[in-house]
Amino acid sequence: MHKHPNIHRRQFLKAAAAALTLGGCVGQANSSNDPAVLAPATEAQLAWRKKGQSTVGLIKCESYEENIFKQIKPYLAALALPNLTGKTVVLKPNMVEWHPGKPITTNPAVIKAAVELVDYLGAKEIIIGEGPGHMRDTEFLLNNSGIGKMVNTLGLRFVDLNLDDLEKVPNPDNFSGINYFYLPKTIVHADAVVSLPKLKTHHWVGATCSMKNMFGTVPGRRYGWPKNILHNHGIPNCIIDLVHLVKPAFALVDAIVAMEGDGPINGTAKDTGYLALGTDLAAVDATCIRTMNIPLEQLSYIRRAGQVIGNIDPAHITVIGSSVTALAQDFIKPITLTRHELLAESTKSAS
Amino acid sequence: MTATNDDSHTIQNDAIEKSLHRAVAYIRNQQTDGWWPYNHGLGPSTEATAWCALAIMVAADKSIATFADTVSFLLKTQNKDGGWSTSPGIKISEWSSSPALLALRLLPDKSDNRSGEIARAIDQAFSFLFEMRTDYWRPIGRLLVFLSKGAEGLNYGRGWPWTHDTAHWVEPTSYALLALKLPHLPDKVSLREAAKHANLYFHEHACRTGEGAPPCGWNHGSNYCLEVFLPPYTVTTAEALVALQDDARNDTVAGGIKHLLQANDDSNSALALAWSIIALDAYGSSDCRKKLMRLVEQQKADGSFGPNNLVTATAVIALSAGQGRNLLKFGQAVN
Repeated sequence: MHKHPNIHRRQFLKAAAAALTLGGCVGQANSSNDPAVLAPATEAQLAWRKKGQSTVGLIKCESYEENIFKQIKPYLAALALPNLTGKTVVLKPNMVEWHPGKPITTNPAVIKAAVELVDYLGAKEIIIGEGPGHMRDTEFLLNNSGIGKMVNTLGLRFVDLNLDDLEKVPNPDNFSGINYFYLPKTIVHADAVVSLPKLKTHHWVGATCSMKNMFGTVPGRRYGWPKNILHNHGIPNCIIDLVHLVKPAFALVDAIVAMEGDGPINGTAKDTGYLALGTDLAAVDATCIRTMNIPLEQLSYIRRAGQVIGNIDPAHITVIGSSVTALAQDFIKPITLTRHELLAESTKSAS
Repeated sequence: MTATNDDSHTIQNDAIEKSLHRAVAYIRNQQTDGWWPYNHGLGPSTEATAWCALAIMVAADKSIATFADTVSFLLKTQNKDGGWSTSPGIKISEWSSSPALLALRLLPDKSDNRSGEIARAIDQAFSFLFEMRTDYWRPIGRLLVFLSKGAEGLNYGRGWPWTHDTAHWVEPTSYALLALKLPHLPDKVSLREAAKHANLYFHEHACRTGEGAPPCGWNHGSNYCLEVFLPPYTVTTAEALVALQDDARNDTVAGGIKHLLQANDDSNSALALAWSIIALDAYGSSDCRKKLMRLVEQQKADGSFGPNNLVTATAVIALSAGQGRNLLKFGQAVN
């Protein structure tokens, strides 16, 4: 039976850091950015993959005004979320940029529901942590996205992951060719990290959801705004590396209002009216992307996630709540899904 | 009785003075052995250290001991390649080298008996910055460009990356240019060329609303992406403007200033207001008063402008500019 990845994540990151201090590590690099190329995974890279069937909740929720946690609660038993009793939990929303009228950031109402959820699951300490990808002005993002007000109202602690103290963490599964990352201490020492993405199209990788959201755990003080090294080493590979390193306990996706077109910044709002919840992030993302009517085979990181993170084949995903068919809509696709030659620009200007 | 403009200005000047005093006191309390963290309770940050010390200096709250400790910290934490890392233990030089170099150029007191050591550290840092610049051409490619197009072919926009071997971006380019240009550009051809190419980078990467539209500021450096024109941000626009003071006649500068003047200050943060004030004051704009008062309003009860010391330091530099001492205004070296 699959052992839940969050259980030993802190031990893993700490031990990995210690191992690096003692002697370093060697990983296999695969910096290919070509969606058609999927190099074979090694035994070590495959070891962490979720075994058996995955369950994803697709929970209808028409508005941010609803009691979101109340909507989620009936599905918790079936989703087998981890027991967080006594744990320190970091909730990681997406706050990459803010522009008026654009659904770029995770809505504060969804973050609030996640706070209620992890509190219900027994969390001792709840931290909201994010390292915005493009803007250094975190206060501006907190104020205008409404996340700052929500954090203050609930008396929570916000950690700017871009500025946190750092720990050197080896990258043993190494899909990207980056042998180690410097990660924020708040992430390394948390007992569990929960991904709270906004469902959006993404002009470099097709779609962004709970796995791509882990880019915000990479600290700007070391890697910049944007974290350009992740683009240079291939966004798809870095997504997989970061999921393997951070080992998110589960994901709650804000798909009440999503983004279509030129996401993740410049697209337009799309009423989608649901939340997605599950412990297998590959299954969660694959299921959400199916509701966008975007073919998974066009997204190399999703195919890779199906090899080394979890299930993307619908035959191995039990969907509870609503169904993919009931929620599916045609999303306006990002330009790179139809004009693949534009991907060649990604190493120079991806952000 | 109606207050006159003079009365109003006096009240505002008092508010700025008090705000400045409280902010400086806050920053001074955050210091440990000459260094500062980004946020209270964290370890040393090279960038926060540089800007906090500079902020105290420009606020004319000089304490030789404070700066001697900070200079010692910077000398001690300089990497062998001449650069600095975000915090001392990491030892991989990157963009933090620029604020560190700027501080090392501006902070030391004339009576500091380490002037030889400091001068060597500054020279090494210049070399590091010069080598760190982004270039898409490998040496052989540069040679081919030179042979086919002449020296002018190599005269293209070239700024600084955040980390080695990545693309150039607006903020690290701004920081590097400030470190090169303040208090003055070194009399060295290579560095002057580097500054010229970085100025060009800014002009080439200004945001526009469409093809042929006038420039309107800067974002993080992605002004045009996948056939879409992307909008500017306030902080990056102000930072770019401050770095471009010696090239002010370009229309990208006018566009950036217009963006700052039209910004909605009600939704702007302390950091955005502070950088806007610094930039507008550097260009002689008399329109900073409203932004200054808005900045003062954002001060917290503890004297800070938020949890990040870098933000409070930038606010101090802006408030000092409001009193006529702009640390980042070219030709107005403070020390």
